[in-house]
Amino acid sequence: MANISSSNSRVPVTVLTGFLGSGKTTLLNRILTENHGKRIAVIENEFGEIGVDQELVIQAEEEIFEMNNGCICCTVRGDLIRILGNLMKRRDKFDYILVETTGLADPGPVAQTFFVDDEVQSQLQLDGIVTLVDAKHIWLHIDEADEAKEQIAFADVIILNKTDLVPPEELDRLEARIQSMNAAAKIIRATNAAVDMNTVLNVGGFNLDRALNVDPKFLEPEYPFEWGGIFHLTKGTHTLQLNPGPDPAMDIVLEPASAATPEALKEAIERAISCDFFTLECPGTHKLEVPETGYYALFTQHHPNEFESTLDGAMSPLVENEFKPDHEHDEEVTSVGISSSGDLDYKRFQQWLSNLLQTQGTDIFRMKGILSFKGQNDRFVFQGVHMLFDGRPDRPWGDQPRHNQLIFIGRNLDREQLNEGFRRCLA
Amino acid sequence: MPRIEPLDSIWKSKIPGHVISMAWSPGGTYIAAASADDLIVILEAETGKHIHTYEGHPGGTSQIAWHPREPLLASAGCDGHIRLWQIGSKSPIATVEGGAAWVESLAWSNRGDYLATSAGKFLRIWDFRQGSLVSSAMRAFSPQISTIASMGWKPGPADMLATCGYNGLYFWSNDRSEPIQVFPWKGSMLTLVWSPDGKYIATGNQDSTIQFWNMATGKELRMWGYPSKITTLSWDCKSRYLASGGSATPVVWDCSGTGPANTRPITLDFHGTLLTQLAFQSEGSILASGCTEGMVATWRPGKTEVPLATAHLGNAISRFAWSFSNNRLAVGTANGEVHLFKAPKV
Repeated sequence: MANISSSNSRVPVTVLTGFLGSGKTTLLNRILTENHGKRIAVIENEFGEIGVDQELVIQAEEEIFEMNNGCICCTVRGDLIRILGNLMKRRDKFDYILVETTGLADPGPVAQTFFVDDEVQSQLQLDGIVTLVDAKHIWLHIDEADEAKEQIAFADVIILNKTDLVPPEELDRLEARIQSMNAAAKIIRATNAAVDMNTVLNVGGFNLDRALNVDPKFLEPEYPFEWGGIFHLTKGTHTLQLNPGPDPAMDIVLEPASAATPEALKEAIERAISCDFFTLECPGTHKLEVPETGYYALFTQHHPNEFESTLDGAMSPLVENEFKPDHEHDEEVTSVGISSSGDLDYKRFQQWLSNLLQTQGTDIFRMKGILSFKGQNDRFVFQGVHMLFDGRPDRPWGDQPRHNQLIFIGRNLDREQLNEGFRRCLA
Repeated sequence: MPRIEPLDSIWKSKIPGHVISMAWSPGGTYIAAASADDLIVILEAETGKHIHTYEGHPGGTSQIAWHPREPLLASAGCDGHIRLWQIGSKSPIATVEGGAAWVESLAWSNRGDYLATSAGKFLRIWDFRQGSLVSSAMRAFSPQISTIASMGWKPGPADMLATCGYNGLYFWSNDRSEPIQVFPWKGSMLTLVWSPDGKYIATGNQDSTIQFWNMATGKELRMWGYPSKITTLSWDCKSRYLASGGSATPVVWDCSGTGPANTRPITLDFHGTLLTQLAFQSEGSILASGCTEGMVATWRPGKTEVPLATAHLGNAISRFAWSFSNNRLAVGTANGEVHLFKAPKV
């Protein structure tokens, strides 16, 4: 199709999602009243109620259309195509668009609308998906409702709202959980949806020009332990006291360590993952038998603070470290990150990805990446929503080390299979 | 290569905002042009002079249509209202509600007895036989299965209305509250046009296809190969040719003989960007085409594949309106220009 308008004149669009009561309307009103110099048109859901006078507020009734474009089947928001088409006829009245979805909306069709309809794609640019999470009540939905998981999984920015109603430890736990579901999203804590506008507008979540920006901790290996610490223990019986915490039991491993150093802790954890775990009741007082005096690494499934755990009446390790928890088994929606050096074979990668999207596209919500293809001087950047894929070479690697970085966010992702598939594409 | 003549310009005028709808008054005295911003401007057809400016609809006017016999203009808008304007009076002589926030389309029945309006999923048919637009003389068909994307009265004496959207074509009469017929189809239809003989409906679809629906059999014929969704279609007066958009090239299907199945359409090369408007004369054989780049071309499909005459207006073409005598073509643009051209000689 002929290029209808150049991409840099496209109007940015932010999509706001979140369950009822998460604070979407409060955030919308904030965005509309804050002095950011933008004229914003708002497409609110049929139940929305914006409290400020705004010239361009349009109520939309969400209408999902199924579309078949060749071999790609996807769903789009028919109402949005129509409304955006009309809005673009009043192009000089605004310079930013906000789309609010209903609490139970799946963000997939909204996002896909921006990549499927030519007219929309030529004139508008999906900037980002911002998801509001009610920090207090999300626990009611996060395990039950697919919509809550999808809204978290699709997000570029997640605002943990109402943090004043939740103790800090619980917030940490929530944040860790959300991060394990969507490792690429930026998480912001807020009360009354008070956030810096720069964190929600113009975030460039779908913009290929902005490099993939993932917390490096995410690319670390995962362990079945959240915490590990090295203690000096004498031969004999020691007491591990576990107090009431979020779970009725937790797994621990006690493993000899060579020294009280971070390196020794790392060595120990690699051995510990293949040891038999003790599953200890919480609360409970547990005896640990130490055969020889020396350094020992204690690894716990959850952070000891969550259970106010003590070893011989205190919790004062010589060295300690927090590990990225392995949530593969209890989280249906996860992120799989792949970070690897080496050049990829373009053809093999393309075949792998195309096959992956055709077979698992409905379960892959978002993906992004920067790739190094053999024989190419430029970095290759890409992003996708379900089966829709957008990618191109951007700039030369230059002095920067050539490296591949990808992230998949989705449901029932098979980490091993994805890693293995990727490895086979290396040239 | 023969030299292509420029279209003969008569005048140029301007209204504030994107020309979203445009129509000639029944006697040919006026051209009404509506802005996507709000206003409706009545232009003198001979000179392009602004005769009246009506406030239209705050939030945007979406469509206007003259009553086929009276100097009355109906308008629909994004304020949820339908208004009736009489030349000479400053404010609307009637204002009624369409049923949802945006009233997106409206159409007078052929004799002007009924006015059909659609707002989201809500279809309303207003009885105008007493000469007034009042809520008590309205039949509501609501809510429809999906938002109504386009509508059109069947040509001829029978007052039958067709509407389309996601899931199919629906046919309505004023005396039944349920559709009198449904042609289901799983997909999103964006625009429908009746062939002037009433035998076919052509629809332009979101999935980059068009369909011919045979009214007698209910059978459909689907045409693939378009690069983009189809938002503009036009039949010639003999119901022989259907011109379709969806690309930079007008694609014209010949429906004579055994129909367009398994035939190659006529393709007319001139435009460099996506077509926005196609319009055949209501009598005569000339087709006008316009694109996002502001080029206008006129053609005689089936006779020659070179444009008869062209114009470059510099801004996306948003509307065409041929005069009733078919010797004038009014062209509206996305930046509010209204141009009047003479029809090329054939």
